Amino acid sequence: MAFDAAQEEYRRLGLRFAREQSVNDAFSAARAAASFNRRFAWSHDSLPQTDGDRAFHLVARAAELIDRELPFVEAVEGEVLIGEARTLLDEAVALDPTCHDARRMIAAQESPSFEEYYRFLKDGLEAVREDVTARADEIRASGVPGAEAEAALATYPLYRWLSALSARALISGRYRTALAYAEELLALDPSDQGDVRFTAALAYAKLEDAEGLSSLVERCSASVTNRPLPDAWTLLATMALAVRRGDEDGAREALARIVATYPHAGITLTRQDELPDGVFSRLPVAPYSNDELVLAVSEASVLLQEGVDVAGRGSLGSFVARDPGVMEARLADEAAVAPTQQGPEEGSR
Amino acid sequence: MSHDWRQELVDRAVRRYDAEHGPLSEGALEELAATVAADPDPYLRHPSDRALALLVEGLKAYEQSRQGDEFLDDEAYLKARAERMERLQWMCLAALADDENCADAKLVQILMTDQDALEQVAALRALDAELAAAGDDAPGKAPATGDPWDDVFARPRLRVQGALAIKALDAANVAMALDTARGLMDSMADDGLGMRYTAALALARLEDEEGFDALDARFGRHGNAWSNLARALMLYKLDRMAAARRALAGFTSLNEGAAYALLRPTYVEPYLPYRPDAAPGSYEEAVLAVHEADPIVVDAPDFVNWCAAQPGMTEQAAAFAQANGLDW
Repeated sequence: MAFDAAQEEYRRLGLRFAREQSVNDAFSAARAAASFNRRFAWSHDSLPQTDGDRAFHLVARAAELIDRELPFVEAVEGEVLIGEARTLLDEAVALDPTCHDARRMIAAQESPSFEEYYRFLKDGLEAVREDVTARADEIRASGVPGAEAEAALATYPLYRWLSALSARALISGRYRTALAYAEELLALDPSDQGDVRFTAALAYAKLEDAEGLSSLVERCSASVTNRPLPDAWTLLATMALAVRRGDEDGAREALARIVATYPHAGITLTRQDELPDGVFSRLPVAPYSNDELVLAVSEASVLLQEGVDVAGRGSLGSFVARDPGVMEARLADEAAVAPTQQGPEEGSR
Repeated sequence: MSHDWRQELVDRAVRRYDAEHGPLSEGALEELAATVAADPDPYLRHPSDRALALLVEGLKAYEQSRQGDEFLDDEAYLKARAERMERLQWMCLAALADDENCADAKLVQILMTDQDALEQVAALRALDAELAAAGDDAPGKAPATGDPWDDVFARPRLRVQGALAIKALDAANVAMALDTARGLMDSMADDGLGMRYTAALALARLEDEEGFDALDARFGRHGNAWSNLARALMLYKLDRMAAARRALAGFTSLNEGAAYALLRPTYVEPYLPYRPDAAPGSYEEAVLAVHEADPIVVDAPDFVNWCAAQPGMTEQAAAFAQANGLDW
């Protein structure tokens, strides 16, 4: 799964709250949990928290505004949302100058080019790595109950920083760099909380490194237990590699597996929409849902859009859209959604 | 590359004659070659030689009709282009009527169609496989020089492979482009098809610094428009910015107008079937290098912006435009 700011905040505060409860039986544990849930929802400020927690709360609210609400509003409203999010993030940094998520999200919004955001992340990495590692070590050393869980939570900002850096390197055309950071993160977190292996799969495909991709898939299918293959990223990377070596049948087979795995894949693979990246992390969506495929196809635009073709969508993009299996699936998808989209006028013609 | 089609036809005719009527002595061969060179037509009687002669005529007419293109407005240009494409297509068909296996006519047909590069790559691979399967029905013996290019009857397939390497790069089948280019470089001693240029761009795209350096060393580290641009791209992609800056300076200092060529890319006609000639260090050469690098340049979205921001780049480009009456 991807990182979810709201859930992460819940875990942060839950951990802190639990430490202050004297829980000695099932009944008091249940009561404490109920009390926490009530206060988390209705009187957030009454929960015990540090400035770091407060800053993270603001980050979670900003993430909600930019990643969840912004895509669905008009431009003018959007400006307002972006302004609000910016205020929240500024406050977060004021409360906790080491709130790396907030600093990263501000840079994501402010950087005028891919290059500058990439540069910010790369130049800032060393300091973030040191700070986060020191903090996690400190928490572990404290030996308080739940220290291990809290230390893990404290490390997530570094994971997200590395994920963002890898993703930005990928879209800047720096594939070896993208892989280096993705592999660093996979070494830190073999369970791959942030699904950085998906970014790595696309980078291996860009470098036409089939061995690299299969080694990644092999390693991750052992260490990531909650996501059985195939996922859309691995299939898109496999498809790209097949096309690149001239293996059309292999490519069509990978596309067929996407169509079989994901709902409404025909439409999604034809449209090939590009979405803005989530600013907190990759947007959390349900595994194997159409939303996930939309996300994967959007991230795979680095693969789809490369190379010369007549329509101008990229050599792979055209190949995918023209694939007979994809076309068939698209027609079926369109037929299935048509009745809800056609008005009575349309029907009477 | 510069190619003497007429000489190729002469060489074919001489070898065929020698195979049918020979073996001729060294002196007789030389005499025959001179006679054929003075007037090849009577000696081009074999259907496959006649087919190639027709195609060569078509290619010559195509080249000639391109003269003066720059003085046409868009509409007149498109009309002239459509007409000359149609004429060339007719010549291809005429060649294929003489010899249905004329590889060069098929090659030109593939290259001149408005298809996706990926489809052209598939067609070129199919043609290459077809030529491999057809086997060797060349008359006489190939010269034992070890360089397949010296065998005129082997050239059509080499041309197909050369075109495949360049098209594969266009289609973003980068490893395929590299492997094809390497295969030709390994067999053709003087790299007559200019495959090192394609290989340099492919290695840059794959960020393969070791491979790039080996290629550079193999050709005596003589930089050219392609290798200089490729090096700048590769180092940019590897995020070694100071070195990338120096490589970019190498590109702009070797070729006149290189900065302009990079910042204001122009349309380049499809190669039929060869990369056209351009003098080393010329603006035209830089234009070809930029054209071939385009898919890779676009794949690193901020590369051109970064180039434009380097000291002196835009000034150089603007000065070149002004001196040559080009738009800026």
